[in-house]
Amino acid sequence: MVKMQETKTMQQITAALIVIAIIVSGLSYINGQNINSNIATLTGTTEALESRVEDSSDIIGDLAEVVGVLGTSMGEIGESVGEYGEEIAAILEKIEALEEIEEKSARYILWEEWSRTIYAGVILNRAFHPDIQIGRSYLDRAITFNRAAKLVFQDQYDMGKWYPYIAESWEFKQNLEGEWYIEWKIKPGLKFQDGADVDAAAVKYCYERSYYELPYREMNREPYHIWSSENTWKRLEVQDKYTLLQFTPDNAQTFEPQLLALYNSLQHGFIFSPASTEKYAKENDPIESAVNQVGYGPFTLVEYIPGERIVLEAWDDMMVRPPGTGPSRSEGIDRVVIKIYADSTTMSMALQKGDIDVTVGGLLKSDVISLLDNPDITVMVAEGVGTSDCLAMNMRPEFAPLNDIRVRTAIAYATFPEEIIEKALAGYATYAQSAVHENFPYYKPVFEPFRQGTEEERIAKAKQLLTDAGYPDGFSTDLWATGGAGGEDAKVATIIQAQLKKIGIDINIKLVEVGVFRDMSRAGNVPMYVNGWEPDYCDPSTDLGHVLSAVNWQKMNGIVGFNVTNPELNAYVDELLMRGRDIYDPAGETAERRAIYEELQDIIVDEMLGVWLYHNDNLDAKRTWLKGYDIYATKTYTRPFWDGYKDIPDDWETTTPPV
Amino acid sequence: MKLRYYAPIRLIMAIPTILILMTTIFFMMRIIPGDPIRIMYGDEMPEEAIQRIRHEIGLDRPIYVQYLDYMNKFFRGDLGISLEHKTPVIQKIKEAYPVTIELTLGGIFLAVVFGVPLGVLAALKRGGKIDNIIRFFSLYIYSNPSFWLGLIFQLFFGVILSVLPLSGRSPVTSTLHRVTGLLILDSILALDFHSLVQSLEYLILPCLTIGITRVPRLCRLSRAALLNELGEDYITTARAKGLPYRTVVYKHGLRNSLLPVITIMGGSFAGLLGGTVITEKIFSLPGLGRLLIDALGGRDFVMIQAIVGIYALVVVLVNTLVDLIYAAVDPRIKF
Repeated sequence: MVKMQETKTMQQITAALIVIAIIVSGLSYINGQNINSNIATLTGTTEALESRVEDSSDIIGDLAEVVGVLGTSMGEIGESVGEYGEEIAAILEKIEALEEIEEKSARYILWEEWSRTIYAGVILNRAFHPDIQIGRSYLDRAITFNRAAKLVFQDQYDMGKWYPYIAESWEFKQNLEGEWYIEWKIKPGLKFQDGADVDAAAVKYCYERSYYELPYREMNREPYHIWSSENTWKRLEVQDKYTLLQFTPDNAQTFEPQLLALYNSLQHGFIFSPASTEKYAKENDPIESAVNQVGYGPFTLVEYIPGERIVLEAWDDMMVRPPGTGPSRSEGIDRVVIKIYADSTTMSMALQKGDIDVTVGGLLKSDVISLLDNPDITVMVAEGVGTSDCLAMNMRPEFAPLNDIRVRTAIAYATFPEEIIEKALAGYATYAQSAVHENFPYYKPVFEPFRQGTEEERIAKAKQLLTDAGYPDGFSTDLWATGGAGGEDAKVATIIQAQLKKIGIDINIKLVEVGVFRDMSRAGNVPMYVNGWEPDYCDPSTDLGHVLSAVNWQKMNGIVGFNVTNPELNAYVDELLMRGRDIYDPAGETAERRAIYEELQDIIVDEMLGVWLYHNDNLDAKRTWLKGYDIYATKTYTRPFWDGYKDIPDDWETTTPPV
Repeated sequence: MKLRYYAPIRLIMAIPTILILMTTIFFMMRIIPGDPIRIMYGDEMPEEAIQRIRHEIGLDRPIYVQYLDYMNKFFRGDLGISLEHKTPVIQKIKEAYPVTIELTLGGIFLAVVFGVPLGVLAALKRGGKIDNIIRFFSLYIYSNPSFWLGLIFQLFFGVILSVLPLSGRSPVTSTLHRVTGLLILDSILALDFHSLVQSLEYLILPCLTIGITRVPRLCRLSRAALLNELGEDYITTARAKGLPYRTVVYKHGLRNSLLPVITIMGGSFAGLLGGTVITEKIFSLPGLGRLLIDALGGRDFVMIQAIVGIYALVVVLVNTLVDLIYAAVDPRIKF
């Protein structure tokens, strides 16, 4: 078996060797063939290469010639460069300089645009309407006085002195029927911003639209004009193109402050182009169309994005008027951008950042404090021209013991306005010694006797009065205040609460929403509250009329219950108020008027109709870079953008404008 | 019940909810003290004028007549004339709603972008330092009122660093032509990249203010939901099969854990919409929230009724939509 296997193996090996030999021979043959072929190919390739080398040599030769030429050219260029190098360098330097100039020019243009634009911020306290005769927000006031004009201009830097504006003169006259009227002479030749004539017919149109049309629209209703119209005119007649007769109402036949103020210092009485109004500010037109309504003012409204901003542009064709006699064509400013804010804190941050140059209404006193230490910001204060705030006490019998004059007098002794001003109002109010503003004619400091002596002496007097009235241990009552717990009214109420606590009066502060307060106060159901009124003009009749009069609409703003508890005295007060208006003398103060207004002020303290605490200051703030602009000393309805200007800073080349 | 039947039924069921809400608002506005006309025009208006206006507006009609008239007009799209603005309410709403939409959607976007990833990270690093930090951060943010955060953002980013705008929607130099009122969309439509960037800059702080208060809730919910999913048997199976960790977590676990997130976001929408009131005030954005606040103060009940009605409508619709999305996403849900 083993031998047979060995034989078989040898046979297999031999066969394999033979096969391998065959394969190798075959491969050798093929290889040989390939090699021969490759040799042939190589030979051909070599020949081809040799040919190419020859060609390349030619090409190289050509290239060498080209290089030689180039070399020569470069040399020539080099010589040229050498020759013009300085000029080329100079050109490059000029190019660099031009680029720098271009960059500087662009920067300068930005700065110039910034310097010719006032960026103002406002809190939108009420809805804004671009119609010149509609709207009572801060924004409306800021804008309308710049878009349109009135017959006269009241200089609030100068105690509200009246100057001619659209009108060149006015005179009180009486016709044959005994009717009093004002004869207005309109300045001839004035044009509205759309080119239409400013004439008597335009004035009549504007006044009558305000009274006969606006209050009765379904949309754009503005009934606020009714009372001002009725207290200013009862009939208007156009005598000739530039003469208008304004027949005055019976309650103010020749009382110039009321007649001029109610139509010429508040937002009523603006004169604007009837044609533009007929075309744009109609009942059924969208609100934005009123943007195109034009008046006669130093600016034109050019853009209105609801809730965001309003843009005014200077009207270059306006006449330039001497300072102090009305708005003038803006010399330093081309544009005013008024940005609308919903929050006083945000607006004050914007002022600090430089996003706005000035605030034009709505800045809270608590936010002003944060601006005081900023050297780049100026706080503008119009002292004591705001509301005259008084602690009102309900004199109706159901609110006893407040109906007892001894109790009210005790409260007068125990109230310290200076503490309220310091702690609740950040010092921004003026101590009130009367219902009449201190700088008004016929002012008498009737509260002075109640504020003399030390605190202990005054507390002792107050306690004695309470004892005499039958309340030796004091009593409890409510003091209503509006707004939130952190608001100004609440702070004032808290301090009064602490002060009256010292004489045993427990005050329960009720914070209520404005709507609720209004309802309850009109119904005479509020025991105590702090309330005030901003004067319409610089005359005591406005301060006193609003709080003392029982016959007209103002009674609900005034002393609660006075007309109920003492109707005879109340009627007498109304007589005095009417008489004071009737004998007004535009030439100046008179003894008879002095007697009337001093008696009225005496009545306030004799009956202790209220405890006058302070006259609020009006505030705004601006960046120091805004020059020529200041708020008015006596009123802040208007915003004199036309006086403002800004300089381009010295470092303009390296900085960019804040806006 | 199939979804295609459930959807219209669900929408029809939303109508009574809206009706009840609108009726409530109508009567509330007439019950609360404060004469709207007197508030609107002040104490100096003669009583005769006030009564005349009250008559013209219809406030002297019987209450049921006013109610029927109000409902009739609302469903015809007549929302009335605003007492304060003296213009059709629909016009003011058209001006305001784009602002609120941008703010709300931006807030949702930021809430999701921050909240969900943080929650996922916290879940994956459960028990570790990162988890603790995230949870602490969430609690801290949750503790702060949004209006306070808004003021802090304004102060820090707007004044101190001065890198973002303080308020508003666009710079005074903006030349973007507004078509829809949605500035982001208008910029895209106008192919105005510069305006797009500006609009986004102005949206950052308000959206952050409104969205960041939702981050803690989303974070905690995402964390809990993911942890819950990662504990499920199918996850264990997936891991056992040898699937990569990332696939298991993100493709399977995270996807399934987002279902409750969708539900919560739908429910948060109402809160976000209401939250725009404060944010719009702080950042001076003229949206529906600010319009509502101003209307409340002025007793402009016509405006109040309209805005609240629209809010109710939107919230109900969004919640209905979330229900439908949820049902569409999760086949286990049956009606």
